[in-house]
Amino acid sequence: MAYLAIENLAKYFGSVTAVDHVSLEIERGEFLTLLGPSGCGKTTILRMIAGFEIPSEGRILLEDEDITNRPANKRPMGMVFQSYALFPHMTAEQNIAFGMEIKRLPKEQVKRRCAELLELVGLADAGRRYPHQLSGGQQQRVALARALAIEPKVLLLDEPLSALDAKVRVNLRNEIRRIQQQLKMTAIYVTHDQEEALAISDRIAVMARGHIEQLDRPEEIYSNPHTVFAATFVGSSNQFHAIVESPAEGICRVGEMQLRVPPLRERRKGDRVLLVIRPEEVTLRNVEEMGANGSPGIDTNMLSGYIELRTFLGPFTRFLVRSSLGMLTADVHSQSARGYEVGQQVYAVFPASASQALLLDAAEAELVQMVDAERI
Amino acid sequence: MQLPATGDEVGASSIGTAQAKSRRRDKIRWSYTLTSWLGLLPFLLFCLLFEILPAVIILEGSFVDSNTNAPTLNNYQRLLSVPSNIHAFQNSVALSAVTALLGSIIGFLASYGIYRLRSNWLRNFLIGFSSIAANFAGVPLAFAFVATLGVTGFVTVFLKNMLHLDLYNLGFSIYTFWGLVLVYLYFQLPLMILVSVPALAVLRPEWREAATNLGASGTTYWRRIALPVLLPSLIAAALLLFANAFGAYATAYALAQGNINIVPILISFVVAGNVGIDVGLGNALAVGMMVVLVVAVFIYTAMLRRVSVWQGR
Amino acid sequence: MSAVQQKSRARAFIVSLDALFLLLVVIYLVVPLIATLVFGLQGGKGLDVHSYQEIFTDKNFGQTLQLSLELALATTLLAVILVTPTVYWVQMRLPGVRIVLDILSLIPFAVPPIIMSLGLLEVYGSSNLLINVLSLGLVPILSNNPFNIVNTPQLLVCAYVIVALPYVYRPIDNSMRAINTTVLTEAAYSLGSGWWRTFLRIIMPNIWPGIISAALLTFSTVMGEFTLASLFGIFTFPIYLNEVGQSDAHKAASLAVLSFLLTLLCVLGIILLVRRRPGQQVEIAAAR
Repeated sequence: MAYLAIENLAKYFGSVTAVDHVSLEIERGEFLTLLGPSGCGKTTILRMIAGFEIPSEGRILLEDEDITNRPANKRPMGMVFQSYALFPHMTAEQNIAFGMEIKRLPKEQVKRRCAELLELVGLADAGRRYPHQLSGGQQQRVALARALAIEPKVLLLDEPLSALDAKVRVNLRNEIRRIQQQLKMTAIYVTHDQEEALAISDRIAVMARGHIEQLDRPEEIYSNPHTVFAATFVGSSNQFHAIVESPAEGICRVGEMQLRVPPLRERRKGDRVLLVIRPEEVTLRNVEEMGANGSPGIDTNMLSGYIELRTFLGPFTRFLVRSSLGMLTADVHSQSARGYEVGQQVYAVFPASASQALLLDAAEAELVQMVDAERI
Repeated sequence: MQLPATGDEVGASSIGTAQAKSRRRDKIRWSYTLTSWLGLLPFLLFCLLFEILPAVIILEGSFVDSNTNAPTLNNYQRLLSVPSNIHAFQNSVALSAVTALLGSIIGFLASYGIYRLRSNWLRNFLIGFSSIAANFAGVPLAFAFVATLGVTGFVTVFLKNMLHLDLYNLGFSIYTFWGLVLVYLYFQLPLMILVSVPALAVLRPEWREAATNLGASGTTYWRRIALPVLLPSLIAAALLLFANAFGAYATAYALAQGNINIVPILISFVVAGNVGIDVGLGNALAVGMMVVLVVAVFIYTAMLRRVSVWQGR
Repeated sequence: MSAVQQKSRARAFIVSLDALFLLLVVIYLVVPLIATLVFGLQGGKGLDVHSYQEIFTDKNFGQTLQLSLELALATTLLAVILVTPTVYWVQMRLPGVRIVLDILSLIPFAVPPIIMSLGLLEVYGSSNLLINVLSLGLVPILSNNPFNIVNTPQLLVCAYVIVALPYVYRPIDNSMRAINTTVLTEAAYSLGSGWWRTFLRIIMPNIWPGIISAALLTFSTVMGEFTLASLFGIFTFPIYLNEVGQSDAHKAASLAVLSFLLTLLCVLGIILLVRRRPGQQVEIAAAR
């Protein structure tokens, strides 16, 4: 039995379909992230679970009980908002106590629990402060404590880190994950930041245009994206339009060149596909080096070109290599990147197993273009 | 935000057919909307009873002959043909327009003066003082001006004794049209200030800087940037002043009491049961006033909407 | 003289123009007050408080002042109680209806007290079929026994609520839009709070400046309202003021000063009690 389940959930706003018949099951204690660009329906789903939007179709079940039509204030869910939503006229402690007071818990217990929760989120001595006296990160911690105070069955988080500085974001997301694991709380997290999603989720539901593209563990989504969108939205990638030449042997043609990919089981000759290669799978080799070591193995792709741009990113260095196929991005450990400079002739090398060949249709191509445009 | 109906709707795990489910969903949505409108009912009812129906009855009554209770255009005929009625409208419009115009221009310049004040304390004091002055209207204001510029008023006497200037011999009188203008300005000016100072705050210093950087002079800045941006707010303010003066009754009554022929005074004759005017005509007069005011308020709203569009709200 | 010098001379002139007008306006506003104060203290020879004494010992002074205070209090309470939950309700449940509220709050500008008095007299003083139907039968109920509200203080209070409506609606609506009403409500709901609790414990404390502004504006409006009271024949403080003042110019001046002080108190109240948040406008004007 799933702890929380949504069945065939749909939401229409006039003629716009925000959520298109989505079904999902969440286990108890699981941290599930809804990941996608703005407008993909992730927030709408969260709000329907919280009770702030009424579904046009479908059901929401909590521990097998249909709560689809239950008012928001009668659902055992705690919500953390993007804008913190702390009550400005109450101190941190009073904010946290609010939900407990509604449940008419005895004063002593309320006081004790407030102190516990403040301690849990690392704000032990900030209880008397008002929201405007707290930083963004601190406010969000109080908001988290407030949501946890009512001992919800599910914790809902709506892009809680979007309004915060980069450094704070990283710290706080780890905090949230730590607390969630410590309390074994079921959590649904909404974000458009794929790095965030990869870092803290048990499972990720990648969403686009109102439906789920892929639902999997982070590692799976990253290394085995099922759709073009999942491949291009999560992590950075090199993309080439290709045509399948030999599915059994795993050969595709890009322009004039042939590239080796893993054997393609569900493809036929002539299929148009998108080849997706992660930059960290691409290594650089000097021209001289290649000559000395002989030709590469049969399962390796090798493209010649020259380095057009070199960007130092700390732990690794990103190279843009202009090859006969077009631009190729290679992420190399900075220590190994020392011998390569702009303008240098190199070989970009990646194994056949590193590329994904994903069936490309017009709709997906358009989606990918849209996402790329937003990225810029 | 849409909330499911406030009630204890604890759903059991229902296994109904799709039809039953959607029927139930429609019923819930319908009852939600109904409750929503019910919540609005007290306010709507109140407005209906005390704001809308009076206006409706006036409109209806203006087309009814008071003696025969038969529908007629007679009231409007009299409105437009009897000289004293026409004069009343002319006076009302003139009074309102003059005080609105003078109030806007002078008030705007004074607001700009306040806007440029460096001292926060002084600025807040002047704004506070303006709000008091804007509220100080009606009967007490009339008395205050009688005490100031009446025949034996303080300033009148002062000028006569100190500067040998006899105002009343020179033809001035607080009890005439222009006297009334002077008195009306007392609450019109502060009202303009109160509305303009926040409107001026909209002018960002960066605009001035950008304009100067691009080579504009002070006059050019005002002509091409500041005034055009401020114009809708100023027009809205002027119309507010106009509507304010047009509907004012108490001040004129206390001061001139029948010596001044303006529409509110005429209407008061009807309500007071004065024999010269009957209800039908009174209604027609009132409708005339409402038409003028509705136009003024309409333009006022349009101007304000333009302002908020420009500010991207 | 160079062009730049000429320009800055011109600018200086324009700068001083607005300062000049400001000064003139301030003088124009202050002089009548001083004049009235002095005039009121001139009983016969020199300054004395004769007229003030007479006023304070006049029985009608206390009576009418009390009546006006009661009317003002009743109007203020009724207005705030009627408008505040409605604005919140509309914002959360019927956001599209906001424009209707905006229009309703502007109608009093198009139907000033003088017109309203005529209308109310006709609605509640005479029988009219159209009105009876449109009001869903409520007007006949109110016009006749046991209510009989024509020309009563009760009707006056209701009329005053409408007169004050623009000055109540605007500050409260502004306040409610300045705070993140929707998100706060959702947060409260997610913690289990119902509609009333959310409204009273979360929303109202945060729109307090708007409510204070609305309350004090209403109060000062009612304390100074002459038209409706006069035409209804109800003996309020402004009516008393007029009566006394028409017969004795010096008393008139003293009463004007008293009235001014009253207004001063109300506005000071707003300024002091309402701590402005950065960027929030405080409504302080009730046009007459």
